Order: sequence, then C-alpha cells, then structure tokens
Amino acid sequence: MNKIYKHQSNIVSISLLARYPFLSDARNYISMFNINIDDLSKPEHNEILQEAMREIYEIISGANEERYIDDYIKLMAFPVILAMLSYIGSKTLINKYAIKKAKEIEEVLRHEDDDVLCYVASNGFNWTIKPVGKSIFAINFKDYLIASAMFNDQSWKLVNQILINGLVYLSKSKLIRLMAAELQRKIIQIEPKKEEPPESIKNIILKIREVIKKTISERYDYLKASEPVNINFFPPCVLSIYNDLISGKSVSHIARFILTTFLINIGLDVDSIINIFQKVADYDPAKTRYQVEHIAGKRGSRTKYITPKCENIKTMGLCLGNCGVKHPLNAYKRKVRQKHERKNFLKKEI
Amino acid sequence: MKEKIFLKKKFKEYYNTLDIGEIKINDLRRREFGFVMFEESGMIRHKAFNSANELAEFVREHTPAHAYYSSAYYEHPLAENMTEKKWIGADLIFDVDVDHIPTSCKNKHDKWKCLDCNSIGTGIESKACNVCGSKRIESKKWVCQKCLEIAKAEITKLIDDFLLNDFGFNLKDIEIVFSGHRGYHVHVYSKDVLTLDQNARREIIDYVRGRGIDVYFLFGKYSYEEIISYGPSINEPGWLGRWSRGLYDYIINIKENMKEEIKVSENFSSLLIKNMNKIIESYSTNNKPLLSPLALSLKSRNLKLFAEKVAEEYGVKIDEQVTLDVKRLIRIPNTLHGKTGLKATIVKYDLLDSFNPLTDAIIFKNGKITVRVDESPEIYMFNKDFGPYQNQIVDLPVYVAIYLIGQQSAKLP
Repeated sequence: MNKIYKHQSNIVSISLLARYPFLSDARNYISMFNINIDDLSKPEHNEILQEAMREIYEIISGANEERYIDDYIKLMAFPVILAMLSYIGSKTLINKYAIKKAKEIEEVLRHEDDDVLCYVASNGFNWTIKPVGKSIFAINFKDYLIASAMFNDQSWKLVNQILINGLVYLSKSKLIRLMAAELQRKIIQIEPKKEEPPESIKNIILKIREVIKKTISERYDYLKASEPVNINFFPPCVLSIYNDLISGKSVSHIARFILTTFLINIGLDVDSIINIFQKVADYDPAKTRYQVEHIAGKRGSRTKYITPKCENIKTMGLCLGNCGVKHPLNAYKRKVRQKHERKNFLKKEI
Repeated sequence: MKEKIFLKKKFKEYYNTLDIGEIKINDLRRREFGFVMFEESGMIRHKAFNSANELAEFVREHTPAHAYYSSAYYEHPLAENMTEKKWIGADLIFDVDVDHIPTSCKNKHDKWKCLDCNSIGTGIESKACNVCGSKRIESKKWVCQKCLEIAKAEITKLIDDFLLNDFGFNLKDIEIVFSGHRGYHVHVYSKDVLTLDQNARREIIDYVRGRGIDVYFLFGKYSYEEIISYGPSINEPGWLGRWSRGLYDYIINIKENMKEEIKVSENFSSLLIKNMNKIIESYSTNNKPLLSPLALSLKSRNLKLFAEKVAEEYGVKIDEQVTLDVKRLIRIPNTLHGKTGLKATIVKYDLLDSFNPLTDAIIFKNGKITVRVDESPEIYMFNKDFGPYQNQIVDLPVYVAIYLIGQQSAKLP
C-alpha cells in the first residue's frame, strides 16, 4: 500500500506518518478515512483492531517482538491504541506505553536527516525549531522548558544551555532525547475515561482489564516495607509526590528528597524506594541507589536525613493541605497511632 | 489613628484626580484584585472588575493603602478558591527588592535591637543577637538613594542581558515599574510565558540568578583526571561568556582591592592570588581564562563550588518567590504605596537611566506640615536632604511627612 500524502510543497510518505503517528499530518490523514470507534468491529477494520490489541498485550507483558506491520495498519492503529488505553483506565499501562513509545521514537529518530527532525518536532509537537548548522538545532525556550521538565539532570537545566534571542541551541542527540521525552509527556497526559467503552471494543477492554489485574502490580505493590507501610496514611503533600512519581510525571529534585526522606523514616527499605523511582524519565539505577543510600545515611556523611518540616514544604509551594501538624512524619505517625488506639478500643469493648 | 485618616485623605485627593487612562491593565476582567485598607489589617482579596472605570470607582470610594492585582488570568477571578477560579495563565514577573540585596549603606540606615538584652546594632540584622544569642530581634530598615540605584542597576542587567538578549523578549512586552518603596517590578507580557508552570518558571529564575551552572557546561566534558586548560571565551553567547566576563571582573577586583567576595577555601584563595596575573594575561591574549593552574591543584569539588559562586555573583538578585508564584498579587501601577506615599511608577526603558524614584515618584509636592518625628536617618527626597531626626517636632514638606508617617516614624502632633 503506497499511499502518498501531500504536505504543503513537501511530499510526506505514509511510511513517515506511520513512524510518527502523532504528527498532526498523520491525524489529518487518518481522519480522511472517517473511521469511527464504533466501526472497529466491522470485518474490514479487523486488522487495525488486531494490531492495536497486539500492541497493548505487548505493553502488559513487556515483550518486544519485531514483526512486519503494514504502514497503513500501523498508522491507523495508533489512535485506536490511545482510545483503548483511555478506556482500560490504567494509569500504569498508559505510562508503560509512554515509556515504550519514547524509547522507540528515540531509536527511529536517530536515523533521520536534520530536516525530518525539524519537521517532526514542528508538525508533531508544534515546536518553533530551525536547523542552525549541521546537526545543530535552535528551539524556542518555552518549548524547551516544557519538554525538559521530564529530566532531572543538571545538564538539562536552562542555565546550562546556550540561549540566544529566545532560542535554545541543541545538538542532534540532545534534540532527539528531548523529542522522545516530549512524546512520553504527551502520552502520559491521556486521562482514563470514566464512561463505559463502546460496544465495538467493550469485550476486548473488559478482558484486558482482567489480564492487567493479574499481571501488572499496581501501585500498592511498590510498598513492601520491613514494617507494613500504609499509603492511606500519607499526608497529601507526600501522597501527591508519590502518585506523580509512579505515574512517570516529572518530579522536582526537592520533591524527590521529601518523598525519599519520608519513606526512609517510616521504615521502607532502600530497594523498595529505588523501585518507585524506576518510572522517571531520567532513571539511572546507580545514581538513584547512591542518592537514596546517601539520604538513608548509609553513605557519605552517614547522616540519616529527615523530611523537611511543614513550614519549609509550604515555602517550597508543595504543601497541599492543612493537616494540623508541624511535620509530615507526625501526620503519618498520628494516623498509625489512631488506628492502634481504635483497635485497642474495640478490643476492650468486646 | 489620625495619621491614617490624614494619609487616607491625601490618597483620596490623588485618586480623585487620577485619569482613568493611567490604569492600564491587560485583560483587566480576568484578574483578581486585592486591597489593604487604612482602617483594618489583612487583605481584601478575590475582587474583580469589569473595567478600569469600575476599578477607579472602587479605589476612589474606599481609598486603600495598598492596591494589588494578580499576575494571573482566571476564568472566574471572583471565585474564592483557586480551583474554582480556573487559572488560565500568568505574566512573568520579576521583583528586585533591596531588602534582598546586602548593600553597604545598610550600615548607615538600618538598625536592629535585641528584645531580650537590649543590645543594638546597625546594618543587616543577623538571625540571632550577637550578644545574648536571642532570636527575638526587632529591626528598622530604611531605603536610601544608593539602595535604589543598586536595585536599578540589577533591573538594567536583568532587562538588557537576560530578557532582551538571551530570552529575546520584545521591549514592547516589558514593563518596568518602580514599586513605590524598595525596588522595581518587571512585568513580561508574552504568550511565550503565559502558561508556563512553576517548574518552568523555576528554570527561568535559576537562569537569571545563575544557579546550578555545571562545570561540564563551562569547561566541556572532561574527566577529573584530565586537565582543564581554558575556561570559556568572554565572547561566547549566554552564560558561557557571562561567566567568563564575571570571572575577569572578579579577579581584577581581587588584584585591585585584595578583597575576595567568594570564599571557597584557604588553599583556593592562595592559589588564585598566586596565579591571578597569569589568568589576567590569558584574557588579554586569548579572551579566555587560563584555568589549568587552578584545576591541577584543586579538588574537583572546590572548582565546582567556585564556578557556581562566580555565576551566582553575576546573576541578577531577584526575589524568587515573586517570579515563582503564578497566583501572586502585585502592586497596580500608578497607585500609591501606603508605606511611602510614593507612586508605583511606570518607567519607560529609555528613561530608566535618568529615573530617580525619590523625586520622580513623588505625588504630594505642595505644602508643608508639622510632624513629630520619633527617629529617622537622613532622607534624600526631591533633591534635598532631610534629617536625621530624633524625637523632634519639625515642619516638613508634605511628601516627606507622608513618607515618615507611612514608615511609622512620625506622628501628627
């Protein structure tokens, strides 16, 4: 199938669209076929539906089989996958897909010419971008700031970039990493739908939900502490950081510090904490271990760090509620205590 | 109390004659307004107006001591909680406040007093009393001509080097406002910044302050065993060149004054002094600093620390919270500051150099009045010195009297 789609004066091939199905040109192309989600059960679209399902089962199992897929099918399956993810309703699955896609795109982009990179960045992400020399690009600082928020490494800070007249200058490899991060960020934003899935895919969705329940360890599984840790007792500030982190959102350095100190101080072990950080875009196992162990007092100065007090969390703008305590650890301890007291009270009553 | 009535009366005179055209607020209907009244403490928030006319009417009727509007735009600015307000976006605001800058003149006009042992001192108060260690410290701060000049220099650096050059904002999207008291605000109205969240604004703050600069960025990728030969050239764009020029100034300053602003370690100081001529020479021949003598004998940690400190020294000393907070209330231009009676004055970029707040922001130019001044340092207003005063009754121009009353240093007799 060699459909050709014209974009302004350039000719964009369907294979290009299939490689980057998030392009707005790809969206326009797909919409020309006017296929509705309700039509997916029709036999002529069976291949698209099958491809979307295969992709989703791959995300769940983590397998990555190389197989030949027709460009047209691959392209058409993309919006179906996104819709299905939204109906399945698992944030974890959405994040896994985001990570998978980001890795995939990073690999594919490496083989593209400079002008294709610019085309994908501007058509796909609406970035202002131009090539300014061989394999050097300049992008608008706003686009840079939004995408680079996915990274926590100092080398991505704006202060460590060449910024001239509103444009950030990037090497090809940095641009590609930034584009992958932006795609990941975009996919993460998919919100689980509350309503029932349409009839055409209802049975498929229900089945996938069942499979997920069995295979994917959802958020509570991350907490295997030496002492039982109860996520319901987390104060709002910590809970929000925790939720952001496990859903792969960008979390600032200070927020990571708050969460790590908190978890260490309520008795979670280092390995479990490192597990939580696996989702972040710039996850580096060695670095994470070093930092968590440092905070736990197992390295360096051997000081076990304590979570900042509420007052300081407020100034950082991370306080989310009035818990009536001065320290986040107290909020947790108080709830644990209350639970014990309730238990004892009930025992006495009996 | 009668002082407040007096101030309010004078403020009302001003607002009654204020031209509506002077209230220029972009998209006024989307903003939240807040006011501090003369009669009560605390702020009235969550106000909204449909037009400049409505706002002016409110101000005339209630005559607030301070009038603020949100840098943010909301769907429902009247709503009382932030979720219901529905944030749309916010201007990018910078605040340079001399309170945050350790100026040398503070020794002349700022005083502190320990509430436990009654010790007194001048200059910036420390966190604890240096005599008894008590943390109960009361301070009285003043702003002088020199303080405001320093604030202006910071603002100039912010606009010229950062906002125009690096960030590429248009001059027409930048508004400079003298705050009416201790510094300047810069409002950036650009669609490029409108929807940026706190994370992105934090990056802009760090860029402007020069915080978090990376040695790899400055000196290129090197392993610590390798030798760094040169730092970046002074002609490099952005922070590379700025850092290099900063280092040059810094070393010249050491050479001329034998004074080090940045302390890293004893070892480092002696190294720097020993090698400063070599470094200066490399600037004149290569436009870049020869760093190998430092890098060779230094621990990498110290070099990193030094690099960071040089950058921070040459960044702009902005009040970070103001830029970070996307729901901030900021003083409305052309309203009066309740602590000084001065006008929050819009300053045209071309006129910034010659702008003198303690003359050009004065509103109440006519008349004299008798007040009892408790204590005040020498004050320079409208090209004239007043004071210092200590417990005395004086005839003063109305603007000086209002300034001292606003500072709670004078009362009506």
